Amino acid sequence: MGAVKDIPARAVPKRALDYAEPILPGMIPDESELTAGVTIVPGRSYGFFTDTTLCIGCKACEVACKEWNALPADDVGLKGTSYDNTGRLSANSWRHVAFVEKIGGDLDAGEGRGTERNTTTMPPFQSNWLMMSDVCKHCHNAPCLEACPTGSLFRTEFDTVVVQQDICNGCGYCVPACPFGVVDLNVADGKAHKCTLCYDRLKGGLEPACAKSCPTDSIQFGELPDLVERARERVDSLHERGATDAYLYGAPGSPGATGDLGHLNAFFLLTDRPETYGLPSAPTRASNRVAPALGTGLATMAGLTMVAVALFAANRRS
Amino acid sequence: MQQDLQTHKPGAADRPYQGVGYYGQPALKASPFGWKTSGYIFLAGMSGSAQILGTAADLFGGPGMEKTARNARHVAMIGATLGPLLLIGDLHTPSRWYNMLRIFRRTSPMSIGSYILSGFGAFSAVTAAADWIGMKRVARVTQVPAALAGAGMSVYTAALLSSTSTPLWAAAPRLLAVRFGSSAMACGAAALSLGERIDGRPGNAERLDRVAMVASAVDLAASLASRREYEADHVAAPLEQGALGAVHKIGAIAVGAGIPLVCHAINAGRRRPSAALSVLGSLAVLAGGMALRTAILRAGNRSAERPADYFRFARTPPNTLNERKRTLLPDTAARRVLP
Amino acid sequence: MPQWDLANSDAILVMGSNMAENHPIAFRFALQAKEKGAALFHADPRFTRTSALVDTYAPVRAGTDIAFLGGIIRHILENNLWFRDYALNYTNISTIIEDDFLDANQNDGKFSGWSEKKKSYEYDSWQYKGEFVPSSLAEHFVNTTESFSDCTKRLKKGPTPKDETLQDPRCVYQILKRHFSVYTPEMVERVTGCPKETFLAVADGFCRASGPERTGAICYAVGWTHHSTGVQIIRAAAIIQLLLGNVGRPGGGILALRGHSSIQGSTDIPTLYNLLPGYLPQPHAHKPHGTLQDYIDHEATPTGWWHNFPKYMVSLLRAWYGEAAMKENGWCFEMLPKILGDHSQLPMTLAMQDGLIRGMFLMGQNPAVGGSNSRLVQSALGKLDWLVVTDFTETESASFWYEGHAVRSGELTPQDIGTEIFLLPTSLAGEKAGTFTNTHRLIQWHDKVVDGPGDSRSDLWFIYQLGRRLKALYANSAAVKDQGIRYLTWDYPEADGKGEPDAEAVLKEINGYTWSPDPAQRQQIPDFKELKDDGSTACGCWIYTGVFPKNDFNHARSRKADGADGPGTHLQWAFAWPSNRRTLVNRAAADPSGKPWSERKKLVWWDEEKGEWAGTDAVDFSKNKRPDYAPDWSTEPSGMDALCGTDPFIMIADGRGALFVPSGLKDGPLPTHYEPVESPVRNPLYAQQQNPTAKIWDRPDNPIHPPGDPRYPYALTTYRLTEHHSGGTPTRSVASTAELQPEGFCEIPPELAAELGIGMLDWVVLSTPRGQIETKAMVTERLRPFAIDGRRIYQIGLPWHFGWKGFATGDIANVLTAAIGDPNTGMHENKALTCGLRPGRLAPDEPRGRLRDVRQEGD
Ligand SMILES: Nc1nc2c(c(=O)[nH]1)N[C@H]1C(S)=C(S)[C@@H](COP(=O)(O)OP(=O)(O)OC[C@H]3O[C@@H](n4cnc5c(=O)[nH]c(N)nc54)[C@H](O)[C@@H]3O)O[C@H]1N2
Ligand SMILES: Nc1nc2c(c(=O)[nH]1)N[C@H]1C(S)=C(S)[C@@H](COP(=O)(O)OP(=O)(O)OC[C@H]3O[C@@H](n4cnc5c(=O)[nH]c(N)nc54)[C@H](O)[C@@H]3O)O[C@H]1N2
Ligand code: SF4
Ligand code: SF4
Ligand code: SF4
Ligand code: SF4
Ligand code: SF4
Ligand SMILES: [Mo]
Repeated sequence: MGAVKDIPARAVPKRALDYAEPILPGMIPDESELTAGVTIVPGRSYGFFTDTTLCIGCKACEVACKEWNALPADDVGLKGTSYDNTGRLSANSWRHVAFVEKIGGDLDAGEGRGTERNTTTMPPFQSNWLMMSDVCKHCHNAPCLEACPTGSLFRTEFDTVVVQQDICNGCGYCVPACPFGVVDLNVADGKAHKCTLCYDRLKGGLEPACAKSCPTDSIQFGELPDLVERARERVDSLHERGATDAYLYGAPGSPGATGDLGHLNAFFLLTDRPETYGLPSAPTRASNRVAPALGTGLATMAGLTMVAVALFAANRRS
Repeated sequence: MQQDLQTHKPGAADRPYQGVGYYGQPALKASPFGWKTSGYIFLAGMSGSAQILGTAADLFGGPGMEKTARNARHVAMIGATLGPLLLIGDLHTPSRWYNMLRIFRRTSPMSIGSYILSGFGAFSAVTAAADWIGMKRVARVTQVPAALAGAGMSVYTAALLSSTSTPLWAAAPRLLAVRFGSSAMACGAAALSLGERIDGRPGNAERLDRVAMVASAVDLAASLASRREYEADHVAAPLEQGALGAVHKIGAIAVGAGIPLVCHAINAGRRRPSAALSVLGSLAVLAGGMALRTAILRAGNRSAERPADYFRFARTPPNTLNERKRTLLPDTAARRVLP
Repeated sequence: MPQWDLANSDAILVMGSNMAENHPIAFRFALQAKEKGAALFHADPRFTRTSALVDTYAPVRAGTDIAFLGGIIRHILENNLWFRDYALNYTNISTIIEDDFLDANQNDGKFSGWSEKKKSYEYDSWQYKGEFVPSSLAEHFVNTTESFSDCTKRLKKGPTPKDETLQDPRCVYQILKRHFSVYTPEMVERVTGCPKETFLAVADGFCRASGPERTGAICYAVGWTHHSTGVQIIRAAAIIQLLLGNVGRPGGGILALRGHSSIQGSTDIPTLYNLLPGYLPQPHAHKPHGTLQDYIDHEATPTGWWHNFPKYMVSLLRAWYGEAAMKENGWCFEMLPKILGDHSQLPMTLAMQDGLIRGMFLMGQNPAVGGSNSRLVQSALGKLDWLVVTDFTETESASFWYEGHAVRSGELTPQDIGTEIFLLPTSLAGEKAGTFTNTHRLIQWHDKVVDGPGDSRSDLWFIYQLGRRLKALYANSAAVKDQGIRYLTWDYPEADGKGEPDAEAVLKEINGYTWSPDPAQRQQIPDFKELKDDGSTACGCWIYTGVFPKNDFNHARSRKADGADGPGTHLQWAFAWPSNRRTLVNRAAADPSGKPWSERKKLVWWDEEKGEWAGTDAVDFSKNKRPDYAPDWSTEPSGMDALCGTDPFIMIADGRGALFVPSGLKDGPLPTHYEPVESPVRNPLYAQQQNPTAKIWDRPDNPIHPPGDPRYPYALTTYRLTEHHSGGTPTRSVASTAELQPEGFCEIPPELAAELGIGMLDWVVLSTPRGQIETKAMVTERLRPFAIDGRRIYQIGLPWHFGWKGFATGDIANVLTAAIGDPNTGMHENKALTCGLRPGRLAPDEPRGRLRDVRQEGD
């Protein structure tokens, strides 16, 4: 685990440990050790490595999340976007499996429409029909959290980012702050909602519901340094086996972990460009713009005030 | 790290992005901010700047501007009272407005703004009250922090918008602040100028008009500069096209900066400035100020829903900048839903 | 093979199943194999979520699998890719067949023995030369002058006739070569539409991953079975695996991915009309099954394990009839109801429609959605006097009388339907205790988690209470016909105050116990070798013996997985029948001398020191039979004594894997390509268009069109989506799954959509002679046009989950399908039919079916 040096050693703020005692004393203590091989200890960083080359698009993760969190149905209707009828992450959908059909060739790469035969020649590993389970990234420097004026969004003792609906006043500022379009206001209850990385389950020693239900381990839950190491090995091995398009998104030093966001605690292995999955290749940290904007603005105000003072003072003299 | 970037680099990301994206689905969520927020931004700017001008008038304008200062304190009170109402009205759980003051977060202009607004409200109220009951000295002291807060009121809203991921807002944070600030100053000056006209102090009004003129000039320059920046970032479209484009170009730029600049410049060059031109210029500033906030807010929300704009904004520099014309969009029914 | 054993495969061919979507947990092991370097192939009419994860996807036109697999068999034989030592020793490849056998190639597509009058085959010419080999299951009744036991007795006189040099033109090897010679790669492409190069990539890739060091697995499900040639498709796969030596070995085999959670259990302890528990044949009124002795004489095989069949039968009768079963009354054999013919779902539906069946219990089924020809099903349900539906919510099959298509289009009013319907609330899996038997015969116990809501009851409660009431009703009857109910043992202890029987008590009875009238004296039996035919043992299903081996040990409940370094057979994880064997025929994992074929693929082997078979799995062979054992034919040995130490297929009379099947199949000893009954093309291979023995109920309420009908030019296939389950009741009525696939749709290739002017999500109407439905179009390149025999053939895909109940609704796909069945199983042909397609919708009162016309013509 020590090998991964590019993850800040202490990501969990001290204060987050103030209330670290478990809730939901589990029926099976530390069940996560059995289901994911992960011990859940407050004060360490947890997250997801979602390996899209293993995803079969079964949406078990979507269902598990809805069932565990008692989320209602959302925007029901056939969308005509391959097998995706969820569309996007929202206040009521905290996991979203994206489906991208590329049977007729990769349009983005400038390949033409497919011939009748090229369905059968496929680059190794998930290809021709991409599936990817998207979720809140639990950013290291989370713009939503940094934007929240009430402290409703906070960093937990597991280094995850959670909305406390009992504090949120629905200002909605976190919504445009998120560089991934994740957090969303539910206008029905007037609060912001998003994936909690199963905060309640972690407190009870349980693996997050989506990861636990993933039949192919496309979603891997774990401790961050561990996950990053595993993910890098996976990329290397995929490259060795000819899947040279595989790369990490959101791991330290990779696309997605840009603009001062730091790494993303939920990061991904992708095989096509980020935009194909609806992800920005270089998201930015919104709070980086506070100082420039405020500074320039105040300078402007100072300048204009000087002008006014000059004009008024001239008046007095005249 | 360097080596990581080598082995873990997206093969596909070397190619220029062509805008297909994920079925044209927005990659961001638009802010839930509506007319109350744009109204607030306008009001905050106008009243904040009015407080600055009032303070400047009180401290530097001599006895002739004493009344102007009092008017300014009244304008500030409009912002200090109506502003919070608008803001709380735009919360989705308004009963919890006070949670804004639960913490202070320096990364959040919304949080910073809450304290600016609180400070502004408190000092403006004390200043106005002291003025009313005749405690001029107290007013004289408290107006300074009120004015400082007023400066914040005028520009923190620009920081609030640009400290998001909304492409249009985020693309030019500095210029947006200059625009909001200068427009606020122009609005404050315009409001006070109108007051001076009503109260029959044309001299003061002319001075204020000159402030407005300078501010409008700054605003106009910033508008043009930001437009170039938006275009470079390929996020300009929502602000250029359709009704919002008209609101922005005609309302915010032509009416909000152009007309007052012309009116006040003509007046400045005249021996006997025209009251009508002055009033017209002031009204144009105020209307344009509102148009600017409305256009920026709504166009920003729209830009958040335009994935191509966002992907070009949040792109991997520099090799993907080399955009290529998108010639391969298929004509099959299967991809009809794509943009 | 266990599903987890897939992880040991070197190649996996998924064909006739959308494994990733419908068997996601099993697919996990396929992905594990891929991680270890295995090659994955998927052959399917559509590019599915399974295709997306494999190395090579082969598109095939629905209903042409035999051509594809036949091509692989030819590829193996032409290129000598078969595993010679395995096939020569363990299969009937060298066996000599009767002289008068004629192959389909020589006979325009039919085998010898065809009787045009009976529309069926006589099997005499398919037999081993001079012998009669019965099949191992219940289908071996032959109409010869010789009695069955006489003609099979010759098996005890000596080994089957063979030519180990394989030169004899009548030996199976030569017959196979001739039969499959026509399945050239070019012919495969002409028939299936799969590009030749792709076919060869799959064929070669799969075959080269087999041999002593390597094994390959084939996974199929209902993409193979839902055809008029379903059984023969699986036969073709069996031939491949036997030739490649992929049976009984780690990572090798054919995995039938079973459907519902315990559908395997419902075949073992069957809901099938023609079987008794443990694959014992149901007595038949038209066979010589008058007495137990007649029945045994005509069903027991002289050689192989099935020779033990009388022990299992008598133990079953003892379990069912208890004290009433006596040697003198044939252990109550005559209490068993006898069947008359085909009582499977399709003919039963027709019998309801024709007024022959007056009442029905529908427990855990929703045939209005799932049954072929839904209009006919709905009409038939409406002809019943009474219908009991037990389900957790109202299904289409319970609400057809007021919401059905015919009612909504105004053809019928509820007043027209006289059926009295009782809808009873059922408990779902978590609300009751019991077992599931999964795909690989693993019996897993589950406890009750919560009480079912309201007044719901388990199916066990329902059957038990029904039985109690019937017994009370007939308690004082003197009529002979009522003895069957009066004698039945029906004394399960109750587990709760609501009259729920103790499910463990049922499992104990299934396992078997030493007989005593006093329940306290009964001892559980650990192995079916201890079952007897003298009434001293009782057993509800012999193959399950061992699942509850001690009075206080429920093996199905055990949950100990092997650790990372363990053998990986997980013998302590639940119980697999028979005798906890994980891999059947695993004697074949060792070479004839008893040594593992290779270190990499070892599973069981002969331990000379101990004089017994050893291994990491429970051995599926006589534990102490030496590899070099040969029967002493002079003694006319029977049962297992007649099988050599190198005959691993102990359930088959000659102990050999059947490349050529002399009896048991109604449509030929070898698989051969026939077109689906409704096909858009002529059979490119033979004049014989379709399976001559297919069950076709062509009648006014089930009209079927001839091949090439211009009104129905498109191939149509129906299938599942991972988001829904079967008839959809459990998933369409739950918001979190309903929203994932919220409406019915069909998948159309872009080329066809462009031709007809159909855009994404446009409404379209699909039609067949049975009816028409409207649905939305999903235009997708995942469906490709095929070039078949020089013509462009379009395929349309139609998920069949939808109905009018629940949150996710859509027209019922099965309105389009027909009652057409496989001759061996009666399984419907819902995977390959033809249809018409037009853009647009149906008017609200436009009938989905054509009930009225049909009623006028038909009634
Ligand atoms: N999620 C989910 N899982 C399920 C079920 C469910 O409803 N939902 N149902 C369960 C049940 S009851 C069953 S029986 C199994 C069924 O499991 P599967 O057999 O996997 O189910 P289907 O989707 O009906 O059909 C599988 C595939 O067969 C293809 N196919 C159609 N015709 C042909 C053909 O002629 N040749 C070949 N090679 N392929 C063909 C279809 O395109 C489809 O992709 O799944 C079980 N698992
Ligand atoms: N066109 C077409 N038709 C097909 C197929 C196809 O591929 N294409 N597939 C066929 C296949 S493989 C199958 S298996 C059938 C499936 O057809 P059905 O068996 O009719 O389908 P299900 O919807 O699974 O029906 C099961 C019902 O049992 C209820 N149920 C669930 N648990 C319990 C329980 O514990 N007790 C009771 N009493 N009820 C319970 C469910 O709510 C549901 O209504 O459909 C067949 N029909
Ligand atoms: S992805 Fe968005 S919502 Fe999630 S932590 Fe990052 S900024 Fe917040
Ligand atoms: S909506 Fe709620 S969580 Fe989001 S920024 Fe406002 S207070 Fe924080
Ligand atoms: S971690 Fe929990 S809350 Fe987040 S997506 Fe998974 S199941 Fe939902
Ligand atoms: S559960 Fe796993 S395999 Fe299924 S869609 Fe989600 S990530 Fe993909
Ligand atoms: S739904 Fe149940 S039976 Fe089917 S794969 Fe998932 S866990 Fe297995
Ligand atoms: Mo099934």
